[in-house]
Amino acid sequence: MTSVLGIETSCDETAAALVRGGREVRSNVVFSQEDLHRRFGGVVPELASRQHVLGIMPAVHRALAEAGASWDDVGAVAVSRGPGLAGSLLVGVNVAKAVAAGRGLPLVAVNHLEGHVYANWLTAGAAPLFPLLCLVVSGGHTELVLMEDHGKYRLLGRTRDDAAGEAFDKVARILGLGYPGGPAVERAAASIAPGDIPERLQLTRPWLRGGFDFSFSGLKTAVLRLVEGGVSGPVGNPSRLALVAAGRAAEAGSATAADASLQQSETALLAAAFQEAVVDVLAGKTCRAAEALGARQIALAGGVAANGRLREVLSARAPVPVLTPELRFCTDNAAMIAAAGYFRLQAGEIAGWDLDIAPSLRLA
Amino acid sequence: MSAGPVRVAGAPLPWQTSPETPGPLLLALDTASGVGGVALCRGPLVLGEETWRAGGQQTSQVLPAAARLWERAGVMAQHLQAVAVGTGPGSFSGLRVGLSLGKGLALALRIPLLGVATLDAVAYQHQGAGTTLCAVVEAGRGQYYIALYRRSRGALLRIGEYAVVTADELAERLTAAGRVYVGGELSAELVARLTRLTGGAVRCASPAAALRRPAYLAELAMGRLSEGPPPDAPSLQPIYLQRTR
Ligand SMILES: [Zn+2]
Repeated sequence: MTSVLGIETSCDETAAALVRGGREVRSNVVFSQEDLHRRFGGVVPELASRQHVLGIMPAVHRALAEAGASWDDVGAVAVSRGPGLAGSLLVGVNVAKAVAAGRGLPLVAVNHLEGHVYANWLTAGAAPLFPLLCLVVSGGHTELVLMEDHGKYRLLGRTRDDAAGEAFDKVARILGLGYPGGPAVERAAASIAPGDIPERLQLTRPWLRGGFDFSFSGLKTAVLRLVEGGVSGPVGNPSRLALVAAGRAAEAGSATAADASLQQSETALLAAAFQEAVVDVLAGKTCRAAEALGARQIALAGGVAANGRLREVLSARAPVPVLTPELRFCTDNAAMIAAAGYFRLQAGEIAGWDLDIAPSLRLA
Repeated sequence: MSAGPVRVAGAPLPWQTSPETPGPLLLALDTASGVGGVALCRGPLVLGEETWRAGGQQTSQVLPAAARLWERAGVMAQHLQAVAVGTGPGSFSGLRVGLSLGKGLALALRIPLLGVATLDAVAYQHQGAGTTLCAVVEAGRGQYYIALYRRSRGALLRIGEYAVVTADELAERLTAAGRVYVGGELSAELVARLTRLTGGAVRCASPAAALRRPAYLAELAMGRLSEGPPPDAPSLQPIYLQRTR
C-alpha cells in the first residue's frame, strides 16, 4: 500500500509525516513554534513563516528517518494548501511541489480542515462510517460538516465570529491564564465540578435559534464583563481592585497564600463557567445535527477536540458513537494530511505544478 | 559602516577554462520581487531561461516555468545536480517561494542548495557597464533594496551594506558615489527621478538591459559551487532587510 509523505505548515507547526494506506502512521514529526509565539500571546504570521523555512528540511528528514524509510518508499506527496496563513502555507506548498517534481511523485492537495477530519482514520480498528458528522473545532475554525463519502462534504454550520479555540485563547488572556488558551482554561477549570458553578456565573448560551451556526464572541465578552465588574467568589466578595491586586501580587511573586487562592478560585470558576457554556453549545448542536441528518457516527476533530470536557459531554449525550482522534492527532500535524491525501490519491485527484495556496479555502 | 569590500565574483570558472568538462546541471530560481525568473544551465552553457512579471503568482508560476525548461532541454528534474536561489533582499513572500522550492529539490535529490544575494546577481549582470555599480530591487511603497559595487582588477566587490532606501535617499547615495551605473528594477518614474535629483550624473540601464536575468544568478552560483560545498541547506534563509516606517 502506498505510503504518502504529508507536509503541513498552515499555521505555527512545521510538520511532516509518513502514513501507509491512509491509516498506518509510520512517522509523525511536529516542530511546534509555541515557545516562539507565547510571549506575543498568539501566532505572529511573519515569525511563523520564517520558522517554517528553517524547520521544513529537518522535519522531512526526520519523518523519513523515524519511519526507517528511503525516498523510494514514498509513493506520493500530500500538502495542506489552505485554509491558513498565506506566508506559512506557501512554504509547505512549494516544498511539497519541489519534492514531488524532484522525485517524480504525484502531488496531492489537501484542505487543512479535511486533514483534521481524517485524523479519525489514524486509529486502530474499523474505519469511520458514512454518513459521518464532523465537528471541526480549532483556533481558526468551528465547522459542523456532514461527510457523505470520501471527499464529499456538506457544510451544516460554522462560526459567525470567533472560532471556539480563539474564544478559549481570548478568555485565557482575560483571566491571565497564559497561552495557548485551550489547555490553560481546561487546567484552570479542572478543580471545579460543573454543579459548583454558582447561578450568577452561568453564562447565557448562544444558541442562535434554528440553524447549526455558532457564535462565541458574546461568551468572551460576558467573561470580560464579569471580570471588570468584580465577580464574587466562594471565599468572599472581592472588588475588581482586589482581583487586580491579587493578580499583580501573584505576578510579582509576592502574593500571600490567601490572595493567591482567592485569585485562583475566582479564575477557576470563571474558566469552568466559560468552558461549560462552549461545550454545551458545541455538543448540543452536534447531537441535534446527528439526529436530524441520520449520521451513523460523530467524529471530533481539530485542536479543541483535545478538550477532555468536550469529549466527555459529547460522548455522554450523542445518539451515535463518537470518534475522537488521539490527542497528538488533534492539534495540527502532517499525518492527518497524509491520510486525507491518500484517499484523494485513490480518487485520482492529482494536483499540477501550478498548485497555489488557498488561505481562505472552505471545506464545502 | 561596512566591514570592507566583499568579493562577489572573480576568477573564471574551471569549466570555462577546460571546455571538455561539461559542468553540473543547475537550476536557478529568482523570486525576490514581482519579476520572477528561472534558468537552467549545464556548466557554462545556458540551456534556457524565463523571466517574467509574476506579480504575486510565483507559487503557481515558478515551478511550471522550471518544468518547461527541463522538458525543452530534454532532461528531467531528477537529473539536477545543484539548485540556486536568490536570497534577496526582496519581498519576504517571494523569497520564501524560491527558498522553499530550492529546499524541496535539495531534499528530494540530495543536491547542494546555493543561496545568492539577489542584489549581487544584479550587479554581476551589469558589471561590464561601469566601474561603480548600483543594484536595485523594488521594495514597494516607494522604497528600494540597493547595494553599491565596484569593479577592481577583474573582481566584482560589494562596497556597502544591503540597504532599503527611498528614491531621494538613493539619489543622495548615488551623488556621493560619483559616476554610477544603475541596474535592476528601474521603473520609468524612478529613472526620471534619479536623473533629475542627481543633475543627470547617473546612468541607468535601459528597460531591456535592466530586466533581472536568472542566468546571471545561475552563473554566480556555478562559480560558488566550484569553490567547495555550500553552507548547510536547511538553515539557508532570505536576507530579511526591514523597510523603514
Ligand atoms: Zn488546524
